[in-house]
Amino acid sequence: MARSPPLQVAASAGVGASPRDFDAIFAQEFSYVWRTLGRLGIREPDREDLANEVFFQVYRRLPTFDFERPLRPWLFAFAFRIASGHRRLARNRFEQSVELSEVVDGAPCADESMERRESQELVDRGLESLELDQRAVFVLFEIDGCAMPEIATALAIPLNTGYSRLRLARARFAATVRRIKLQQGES
Amino acid sequence: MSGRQLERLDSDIAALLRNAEPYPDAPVDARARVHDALKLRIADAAAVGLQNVEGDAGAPIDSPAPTSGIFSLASRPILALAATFVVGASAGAGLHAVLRPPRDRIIYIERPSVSPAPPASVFDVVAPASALPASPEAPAIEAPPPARPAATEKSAAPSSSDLGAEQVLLDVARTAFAQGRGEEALGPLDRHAQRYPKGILAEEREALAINVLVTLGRYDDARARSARFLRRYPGSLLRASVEAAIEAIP
Repeated sequence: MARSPPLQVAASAGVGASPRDFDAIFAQEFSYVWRTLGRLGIREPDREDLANEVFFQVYRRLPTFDFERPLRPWLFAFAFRIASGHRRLARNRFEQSVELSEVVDGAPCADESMERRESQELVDRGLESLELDQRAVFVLFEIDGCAMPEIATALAIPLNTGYSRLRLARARFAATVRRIKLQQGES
Repeated sequence: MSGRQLERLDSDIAALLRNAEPYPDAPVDARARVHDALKLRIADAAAVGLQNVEGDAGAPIDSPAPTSGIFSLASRPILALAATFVVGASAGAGLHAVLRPPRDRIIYIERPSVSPAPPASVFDVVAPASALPASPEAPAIEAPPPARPAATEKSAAPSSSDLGAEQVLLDVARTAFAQGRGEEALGPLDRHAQRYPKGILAEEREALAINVLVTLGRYDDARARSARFLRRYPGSLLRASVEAAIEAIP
């Protein structure tokens, strides 16, 4: 398979938005990495350390990154591996939903704001119900909007495994969200 | 199951995901703190010869990733045991170095043939002082042996300064390459290959060199070097990068 040389043609290959410079990557993608760690269940107090670790690994691996590929799935893979290792420790297994009230913005509680906050809490509860492997695929596909082949590449899984995890994740996420809505309606 | 069979997301769930966006962003001060900590960490890693960095350099990114140092050590008894051994051995080596009769040895330090590229970013590592000659005119007296397990004199194990110097060369090459100056990247890579043919970072050097050669259109050189790379490092984490570079050759 003949492809263009990696790392050289990126700027002219329609992926010029991917910064090659580490500073630029940090500046442009810090928020993405931060949010991703949150979506992977990392509590806010731990996110700084893990974001540091993600970018340190990115710094070291940057020379080997193929800039023809989209950057975010690659970044996500670092965040996923690091979050996965972090969550294996029993003391880190509690989720971040307990702190949601601390991280939402302090804007006046208009109806719209309240609704978004409730939606956010529901999404987080739904994500919490997923195994981390499924959660990674779900977040990348449904929230980040990545294509499944890229997801499979980034997470180093077969394509069909990616689709399988997505299907399972969707079902569980939907079931969790609907159950919570039902409970809220009954209370 | 394939993409063609993938159903649409249920409308209520899709709406929920839309409404929930955007996810809370990082506090401004958190970004600044991570930035500062990262900057120090990168500089520290270079200053100590990337010992900690290289400790996980061989680990695939899909292996359990290290978290903060305390967490990772406490959660891995084997690592803790190994760390205890290393500390003990280092202390022993240091004690031995202090107690044994002084022995001056003249060594010659090679002057850098080019000055390092100016820092391109706040994250660019600074060449560790130990990698530079104290005085360009006088031969240097060898510093006391580093506090490492004994036998470093006889073995080819690189010192911290070697590692730091290796990293500096690769950083210069990487920066040049990332900025599209492939020709300039080859110089430090060649110097690294001459000075540290079997250096700790030889694998990374080779992978980077192959990518550089491909972008410069030196396909035969790239193929030959790639073949050597794959023979020498069949299980390399950088294999995918090397193979992608070779596949990219028209």
